[in-house]
Amino acid sequence: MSMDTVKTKKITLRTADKEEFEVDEAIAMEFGTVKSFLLENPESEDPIPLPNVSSKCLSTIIEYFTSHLAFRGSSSEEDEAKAYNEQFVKAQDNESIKELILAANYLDIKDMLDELTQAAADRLKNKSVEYARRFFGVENDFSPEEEAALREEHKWAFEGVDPDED
Amino acid sequence: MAIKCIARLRSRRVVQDQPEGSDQATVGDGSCPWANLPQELMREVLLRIEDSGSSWPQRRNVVVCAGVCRSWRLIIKQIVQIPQLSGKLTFPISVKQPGPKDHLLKCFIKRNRSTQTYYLYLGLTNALTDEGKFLLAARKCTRPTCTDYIISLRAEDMSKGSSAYVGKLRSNFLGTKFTIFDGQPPHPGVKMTKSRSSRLPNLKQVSPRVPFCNYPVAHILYELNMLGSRGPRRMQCDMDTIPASSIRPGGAAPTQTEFSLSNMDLFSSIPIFSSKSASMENFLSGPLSGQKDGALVLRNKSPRWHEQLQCWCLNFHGRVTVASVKNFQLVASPENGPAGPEHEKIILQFGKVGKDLFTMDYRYPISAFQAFAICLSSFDTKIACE
Repeated sequence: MSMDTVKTKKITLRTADKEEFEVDEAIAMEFGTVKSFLLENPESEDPIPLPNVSSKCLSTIIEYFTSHLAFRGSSSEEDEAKAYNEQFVKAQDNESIKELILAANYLDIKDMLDELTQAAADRLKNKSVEYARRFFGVENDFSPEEEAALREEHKWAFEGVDPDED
Repeated sequence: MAIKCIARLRSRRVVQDQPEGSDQATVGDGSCPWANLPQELMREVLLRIEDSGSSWPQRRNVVVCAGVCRSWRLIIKQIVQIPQLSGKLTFPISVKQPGPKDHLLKCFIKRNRSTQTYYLYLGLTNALTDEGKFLLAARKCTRPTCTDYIISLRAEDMSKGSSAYVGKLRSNFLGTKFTIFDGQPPHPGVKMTKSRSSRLPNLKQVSPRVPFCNYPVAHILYELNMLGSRGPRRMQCDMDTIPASSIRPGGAAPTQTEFSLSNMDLFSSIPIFSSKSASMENFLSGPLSGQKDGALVLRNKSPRWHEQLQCWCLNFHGRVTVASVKNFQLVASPENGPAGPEHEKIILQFGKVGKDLFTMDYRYPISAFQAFAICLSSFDTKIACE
């Protein structure tokens, strides 16, 4: 989204923990939900409540977009964005990734959501079943018989045979 | 007023932002309040895992995720396509499912002569052999009147009672006729006339495997050709569980979806069964003849005599490099009907590439298990040529 004129209009966002953030309209418009609201209520001056987003999350997201908007339109935008995203994702712990996914989903920020779900997928690679359960806070709800079958499946997937004993 | 507007916006959202029926703040046992990602988001993550793990060993990650919990397994099973469509092998059941329709899946077999064991691998590169992904193992068991090759999902476990048992190949005394047995009923719900169990596992119950049941699913026959032992032998494979119509446009081959070990079946995607073929019961008692849509019959392509090289030649497209009587290519035989382009396609190709090393390339409508068993018969048959 390119800006034709420099706007200094500020939008106030109120998070779940009742903190208020004043952000440039440019950044607020990156959030699909906020953008829709603003388009329908251009005159509204009240803070926009975001009951599904914590202040920690929102400040991280604002930081993300402040940086992104800084190199938007530049000739090396793609490379800069890529490099920034790598560092950004690396700096988030597993809990933050999950929280950000939920926040980005709620705020309807497609590109950021894509980055985050990819980051979650990358963090699951080459990890065990137990790790995946811990990461997502998921419980094992298989029956003992199913567990036995799963162990077989798992063994097969990890089977490495060296039959060179001639 | 602002709050009302946001609420209205939220109701328009396609993606649910709260776990169904639960308040995200009520998980009071200390675990993360964000624990339950909504299905849509979880699916996004799992889709990316499936996408980035298209080859082995990365494909292990898909299997790991399918073992995390029921809802993940359901999502993964919906995402992962059968080999016929994707050309990828993912779960153990993949070795029982038909190969890709439009190309040959390249595999290789390693033989260990001292233990009489054979190992089937999926090739990971275009090289004739490489590190490979282990698929199946087979061990030869010689008996007084016949020979059995036990086929298993685990190399170290070849016992018939094992949960890794897939099936076996049995040869007659002369080594001219072979039967492929499947340790699982070809299709749930089909009555088997020669089964030792009186009741087939009900899909909805926890059904322990009945390991001592074997269902004949194919017959292989070796014969000398007109030139006797001076010419290449003739092979015929009657694939009793695959209808001949499967290779025609719009045809389908039966596809198992899970090993019937437990109520895993509950969570598998809807089984894709051929409903276009004649009743499968007809296929289960032996080779067919004279049926309108009979069983698929595979025959080996006849090699040509090369006068200058003084040998029988087949074009293996670089996948077979050592001459051997064991080498073969199988195509679908038109049997009683007219031959069409579908009878030109090579369905199974097998041949030697080194000491105790062989390539095996197969495609729809046969599975890796069936292909492997047919190749094993080529090792065993006593029909040879000089």
